[in-house]
Amino acid sequence: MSFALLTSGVPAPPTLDGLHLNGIAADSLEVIERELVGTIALAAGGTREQRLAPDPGQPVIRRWYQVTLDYRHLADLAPAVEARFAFPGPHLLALWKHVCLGWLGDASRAEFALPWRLAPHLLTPAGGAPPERFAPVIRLEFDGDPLTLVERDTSDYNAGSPAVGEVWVERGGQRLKLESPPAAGARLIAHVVPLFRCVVAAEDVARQYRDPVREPRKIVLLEAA
Amino acid sequence: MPIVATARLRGRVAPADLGPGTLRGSVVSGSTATLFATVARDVVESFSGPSLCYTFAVKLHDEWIPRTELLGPFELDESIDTVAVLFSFGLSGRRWSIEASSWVWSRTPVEIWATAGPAGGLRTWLRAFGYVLTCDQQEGPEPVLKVSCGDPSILYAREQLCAEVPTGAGLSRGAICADLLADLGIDSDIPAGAIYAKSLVTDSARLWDFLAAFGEPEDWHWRFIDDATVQAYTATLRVAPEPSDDIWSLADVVSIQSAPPSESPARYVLRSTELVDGAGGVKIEITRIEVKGLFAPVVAPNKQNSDGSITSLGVSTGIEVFRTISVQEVEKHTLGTTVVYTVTRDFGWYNPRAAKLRSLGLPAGPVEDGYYYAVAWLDPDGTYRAGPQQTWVQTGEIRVTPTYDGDGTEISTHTETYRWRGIPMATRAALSDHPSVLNAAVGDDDLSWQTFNLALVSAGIHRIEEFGLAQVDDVTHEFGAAGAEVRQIEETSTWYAARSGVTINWLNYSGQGMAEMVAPFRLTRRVTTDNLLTADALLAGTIETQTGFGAPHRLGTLGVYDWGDGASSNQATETFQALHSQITTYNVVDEQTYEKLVDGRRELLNGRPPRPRFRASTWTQTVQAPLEVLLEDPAAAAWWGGETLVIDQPYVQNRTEGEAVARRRRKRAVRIQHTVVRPVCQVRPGQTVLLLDPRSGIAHRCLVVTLKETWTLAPRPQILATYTLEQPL
Repeated sequence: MSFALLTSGVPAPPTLDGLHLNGIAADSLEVIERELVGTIALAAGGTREQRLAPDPGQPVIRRWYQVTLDYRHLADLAPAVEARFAFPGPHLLALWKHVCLGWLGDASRAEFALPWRLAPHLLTPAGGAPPERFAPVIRLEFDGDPLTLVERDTSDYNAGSPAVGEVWVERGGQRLKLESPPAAGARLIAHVVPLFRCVVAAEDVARQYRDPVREPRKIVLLEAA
Repeated sequence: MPIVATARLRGRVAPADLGPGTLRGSVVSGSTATLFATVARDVVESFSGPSLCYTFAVKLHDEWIPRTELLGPFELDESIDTVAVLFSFGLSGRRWSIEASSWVWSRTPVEIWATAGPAGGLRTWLRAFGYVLTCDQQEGPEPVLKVSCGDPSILYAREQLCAEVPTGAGLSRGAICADLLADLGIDSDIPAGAIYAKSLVTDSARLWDFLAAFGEPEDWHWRFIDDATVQAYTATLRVAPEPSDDIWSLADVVSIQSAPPSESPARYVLRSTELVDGAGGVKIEITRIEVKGLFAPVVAPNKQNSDGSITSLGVSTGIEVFRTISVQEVEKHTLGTTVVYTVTRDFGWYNPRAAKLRSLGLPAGPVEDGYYYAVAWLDPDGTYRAGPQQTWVQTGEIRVTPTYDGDGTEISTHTETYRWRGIPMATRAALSDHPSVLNAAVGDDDLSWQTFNLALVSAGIHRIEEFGLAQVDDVTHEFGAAGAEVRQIEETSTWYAARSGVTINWLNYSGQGMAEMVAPFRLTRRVTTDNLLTADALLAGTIETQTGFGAPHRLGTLGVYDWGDGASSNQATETFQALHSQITTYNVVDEQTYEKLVDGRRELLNGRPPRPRFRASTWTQTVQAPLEVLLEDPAAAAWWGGETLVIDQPYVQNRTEGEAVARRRRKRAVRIQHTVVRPVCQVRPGQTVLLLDPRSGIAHRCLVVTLKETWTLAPRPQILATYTLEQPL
């Protein structure tokens, strides 16, 4: 692999509605990915997979995220966190982890859509982590070299067009485009750090106080439609 | 187009090539022909593959429903037995509440677009279209609705047909159906089918019921192929060497449930009517009515002699015996059902009348101012008769000859009436002082008549009645553009002498002046009725004008000419002229009452105003005979016993069609039925599938009759179709 998965080893805590959850310890950070897939067993014993068809330009597989942040003690952040949860969603959550997306070329489409806005475009990671480590990495085919990343504001993005070997990503937006449409069936792969729009899960109800000192909080967030 | 040959084109399309593949072939021998076929890979591949993507989108009232508001499942029902395709889908969101939107429960146009295929090879097509029927709303913070829809046939489901097709109109079944649909603004794609020779009256039948029944002899099934076009297609099992539309093995299906044929009739009796060829010439039908009873012919007991004396003959009417009193014979000549000639003859016992007096000119006779006594027999009631007793003779004959135009409408009737009748005759010239006309006879009615059978005159007997033409009636009908009668002319001719002043021409015994000595046979009366029609050809009134012989009278004897019967006139002789005219109008007061105005006189009547006579339809002259087709099914009789099914199918027009319908019904009844659940595929009802299941030994071609698709997107995508297949035995 010609690049490392850049976020591994980078100590960046999650960011909730602009608040870096820094300096508090989570027991765990659990991410559940949900994808709508059905399978049916045919009479001969084989199985067929049935998926939802993506809209044009959308990634082939769209997974929906559920994040559980189980804090034993919110400490000084408790008022700030509770203040954010005093309002309904969507809450903006950055986990500072890469998510991988794939598109299939159809020889006519050069612009593709991202399901989310990207966290580095809107936030600065906590703890002084280098933002470039969270930049998108986009390439064609499994073993292709990453394309040259050019991040543009919306007006520049709309006005210009990428050069050969470049991929333009709309800064603060949800679009990326290539110089020419990938061939039919070609795979476009992107590793991005998303900024999720979440709502509080219905299960986030119980809170267990073990002692008067600690302020436990289990935050369960679901990606909103 | 009939299939005269089949060919199978085989080829392989490279998997990497997503474009359509092309197959070509040519017929080498015989006339040159080239076969050309295009294989659209995406159609096949969008339904086959280990991992497929599916989704659907809904356009309601020309507006795409956002995916966030669209809920599954999308369900769809199709069948070869009904034109209706029913489908439903779910919606959520406050704006779809039945309070907020009428789109979800009124006839709103709706389209369902399905997308399917492998990732990167998706295909989108219009899966269902039509109109919203209604919806079912469930309570909640946000309404959740199940919207039920149907194809465009639901718009016409309540249409009742009102159409007639006459016999021999030369229209094919397809043309008739196309006409009916065009009347409703529906385009059609219908094969011609057989010429429908029988008459057709749709009789307020519902559109789709009628089309289903009317198309059954052609094995037509109906569907909408686009928003405004109805197609008739045949759903028959394809047999070898034609390939089946699809082959399903266990690798393609989720489950197969099979049911054996259930009890089925052993005997099919199909009832209809067929057109009978009416060209077998004129058919003559004679009906004879004889009245028998106790009867004795009347015998004259007295006789008047030439000197006027009455002699008793010493005879009287005999004892009544049981015998024929009268006979009526009706002879009807028909061509098909058209009556071309009718004669009614009456026979009975009759003794013609005779004269009591006669005029012989000079020398003047002894009676009155110069008459002579005639010889006659007198009945017990004093009537003068020409013979001693009643004899068996023909007493009447009415000959009716209608005339028809090319469409079979009766446009006139000529009626001749024959009976024992007299012809008026004068007994003297005007101003003659004695009866100057030879052989005029005076009846016991004090009128003078012509003498018949002069051979008897030498014996002094004057028979004043003869069996002969007494009256001719001609009725003529004229029809307007709307088909309603606009004028009727009724003309009557009879023996009639115009009346005149007593001093001019001739005088009857009664003293009445006659213009001719012997009344000629002539037109005496004409009644013309002009119908006043409303715009929709109903009767608003009539103008009846009567023409006949007449003259303006003057009171008593004030006129220049005395006519001898108490009337006088300034005109010497009657002329044929208009005598009377009457205007009648009808005003509809309400549904049950109308007003009749006759020359200004008002009369309120119950009911509806009279209707004018209408032009006939030609088909009313054709003959349909009952048709019964019997199909025995010995196998069903052995399996389940001998049940009989009677099918009334009025649109079958001959034995061949009847047998085909019965055979098809039997084929549908005696079949093994497979219910197959499988992933959605391109097979539709009406197509043929070769079903393979080695576990149960199924390796048969089956006809797909129903399809139910369910597209569930959440919580897991599951897109399954339930097909009903019929495997004939």
